[in-house]
Parts: sequence; structure tokens; C-alpha cells
Amino acid sequence: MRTVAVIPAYDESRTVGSVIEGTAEHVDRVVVVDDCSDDDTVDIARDHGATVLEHAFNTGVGGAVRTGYRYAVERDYDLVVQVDADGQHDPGAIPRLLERAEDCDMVIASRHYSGSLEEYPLVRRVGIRGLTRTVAALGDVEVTDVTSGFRVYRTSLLEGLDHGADRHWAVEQTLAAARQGADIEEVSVEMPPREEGDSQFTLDTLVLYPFRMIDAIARSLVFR
Amino acid sequence: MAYSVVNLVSLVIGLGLLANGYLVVNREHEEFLLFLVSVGAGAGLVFVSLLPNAFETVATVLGLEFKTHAILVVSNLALFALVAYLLNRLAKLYYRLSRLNEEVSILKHELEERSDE
Repeated sequence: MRTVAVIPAYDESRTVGSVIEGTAEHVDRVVVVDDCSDDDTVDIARDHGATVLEHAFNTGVGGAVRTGYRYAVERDYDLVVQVDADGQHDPGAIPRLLERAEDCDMVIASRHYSGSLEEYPLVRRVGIRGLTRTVAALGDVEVTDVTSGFRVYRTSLLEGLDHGADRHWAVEQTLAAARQGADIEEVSVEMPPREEGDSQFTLDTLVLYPFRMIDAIARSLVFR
Repeated sequence: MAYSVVNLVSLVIGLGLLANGYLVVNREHEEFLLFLVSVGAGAGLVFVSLLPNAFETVATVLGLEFKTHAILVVSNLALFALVAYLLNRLAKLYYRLSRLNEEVSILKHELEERSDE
């Protein structure tokens, strides 16, 4: 099985190097999709041996992962491991995710079983649980952490799974995959809240978050 | 029939929109909806600026008591249509831009790979 890791990155120069090193031990190739960073993310990623795809302008993590998926599909990889560049995802868990992916289409690293979810702020916990229950009910799928970005996909699934959202993509993608009948499994992984870099959850994101989620869910239900 | 500065401003804006419609065709942009909105709104503005009492007829047709009410209703409806059109257009453009971003990054990488070989 040929495996590629896709690491979406935006201003992650402090952590991207160690994430690449940790991830490279478990996959055939590491691809960093730089979402038009202002810092040295691109240079550091290249220095650590990663293939770097550079966006011409910033689109958001959803757009960055889509570029990575496209690379994986065009280069005929079998599996795609998705890892955040901020160091929140432990590359040491990748073998367990890959092992589970041998007999399913998508594996999500869940913070629910490991108890990591309890370390998150109350608002995010409530949001994650609410969205997870919504997706589980609408997609008729058993998931406990729908917003986790630490995932493994079978590339054949990604070919027919084109999420439109450039920012909060996970809900739309998971719901669309579930409605397509994809086999989605979870593996318990510890994932503490990020300590380095800027979170994608800024004030304006927090305000717009509920509307974007409604948009993502409605889009999946109406158009797919 | 009383004319005021408002009529003059409406006439200028109306002619401007008609000119925009002409330019859309002249430059072969093939944006039919933009052409339709420009010509429709432009012709409407020119019409009401030259015939300010026309809205009294519109008010009668709409069953409204005053022509001011008719102006309000028609302008609000026109505004809704325009905002819906612009939002739709923005969404479409953003989608294309995002896909273009994706395409450029992949092509740039392939170019770098070929340069290295």
C-alpha cells in the first residue's frame, strides 16, 4: 500500500519540522500544503524533506487539504494520512490508524474515548458533541468526534468526495462520506488542545461557526 | 410635471447603467444576466426620471394609496433581486478562485519537479 501524508500548514514554522520528521517514519511521502504562510513554513518543510505544494493565496484548511487529496489521487497513492502541522496530532498514532484503515474507507482519530476532549474549552466541547450527534443521526453512522482533523482515507473514497468548504470542512466531508455509504471507523487517540501557533477558531470564526455548520450540513443533505 | 435634482441624478445613473450594458456586449463578456440587470435597471431609471408621475400608475396597479409606497415596494424588490444576484456571483467567483488556487499549486509543483530533472 502506497501511503502519503498530507499536512495542511499556515504559519506553522515552529512545529512543522518536527511533525514532518515524526510522520515521515510511517508513510512513503510527506506532502505539506502551504496555505500562503507569511513565515518560513515552506523553507522548513523543504529542509525536512517534504514535498511542498504552495497556495497562491490563503483559502483555509479545507482548501489546503483538498489540494493534498488531489495530489494523492493524481499520483495513485492508496492511502492518505492527514495530520495537522501544529503538533497537536501525535505521529506515533499513525500506525494504529493505518492498521485500522486496512479494512475500511476512513479512520478518524477520536478524542472522545481517550478523554482528551475534556481538556477543551466548554464551548468547543459542546460544539463538537452537538455536531457529532447531528452527523451521526443524519448520516446514520457511529462517530464520536466528527471535527477531528487527524484521519486516514482510502484514496478511492476521496475521488468522489469533494467538500466545498474552505474552512470547516470536516463536518461536510464526514456527512457526505457517511451518506455515500463509506465505512467510517474510529481509533482512540490522545490529542491535547494546541499550544503552538494560532488556532483557526478566532472571534469571527466563533461567531460565524454555527452558520457555516448549518451551511455544511444543508449542502450535504440537499446537493449530495 | 415637476422635475428636480433627483430626476437628473436618476437620469445620469440610468444612462450609466445602459452604457454598462452596451460595454458588456461590446467587450464580448457574454455575461447575459449582468447585461439584463444593467439594461433593465438603466431603462427603468431613465423612464422614471423622464416620467416622474409614472409611479402613480404603478401605485394604482399595485393597489397602493401613494406613489411613494409604490416607489418603496418596487425599489426594495429591485434591491433584493440585485443583492441575490451579487451574492450568487460572489459565491461562484470564490469557488472558481479556490479551485484555481488548487490548480496553480499543483502545476507549480510539477514545474519545479521538471526543472529539477
